[in-house]
Amino acid sequence: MNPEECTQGCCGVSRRRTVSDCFDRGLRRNRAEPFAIVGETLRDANGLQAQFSLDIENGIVKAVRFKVTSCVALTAYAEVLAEEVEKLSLISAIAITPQTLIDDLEGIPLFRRDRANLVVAALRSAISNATLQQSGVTNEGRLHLRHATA
Amino acid sequence: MKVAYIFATQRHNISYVLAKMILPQLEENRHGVDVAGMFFFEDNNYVLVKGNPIGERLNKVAKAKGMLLMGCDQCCYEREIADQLMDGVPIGCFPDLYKALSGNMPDQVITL
Repeated sequence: MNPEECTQGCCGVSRRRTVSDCFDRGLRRNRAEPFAIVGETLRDANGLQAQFSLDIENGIVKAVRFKVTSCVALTAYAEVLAEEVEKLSLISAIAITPQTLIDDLEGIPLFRRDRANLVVAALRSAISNATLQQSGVTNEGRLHLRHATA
Repeated sequence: MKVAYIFATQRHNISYVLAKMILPQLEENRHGVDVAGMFFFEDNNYVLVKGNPIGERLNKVAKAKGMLLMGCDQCCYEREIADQLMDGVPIGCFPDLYKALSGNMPDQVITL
């Protein structure tokens, strides 16, 4: 079975959203080859990197993959974001904020929560590229990225 | 000489080796070497949880002596205690440990 398809509890155990569980799932997603629609590889002040790629069908996010630096909090936030975005429209997906991730994933110490900004910015970059591709616009000067904290 | 301790195995390490050997010696300034830092793996991280009596004593010594205490981040997340550690005690992985020790490099690293 494709691990990305494992969205239900396995072995009768309910699927939980803990940092450790999200990190484990995120590691598997992190190893998958990117989809065709790829965002920019963004880097934060700590040298951590994140890049998202999307599989879009009829304006809906069908599947998400990412490549992130092997930091537990970063990978866990990326996984939560990927899980939340799937099946959403691009407009709904771009509305997810770092604070949403922070609220949805308890247990990350305060000094690691800045990782949420990086993954949201990286996802928005991928969504912007998807939007450009869908509209046929090639002029990157028209690209408008919302700030991740907005 | 300056050392760093890595608490990698579980068994009797914290309650005996740390709590009954190393920590009392540090408290009494007779450990024999300076300790640059301690890094904790697996269940050993529970000693870093706020309110742990051994951990609170250790943290007091660490603050007085400028000694680094750090928990393995994956171990802490797995045990859901990453946000419950004593104030000022960070979690991290090897890059964080090396960076934190780089300003106070140990001569020897002792794995227990």
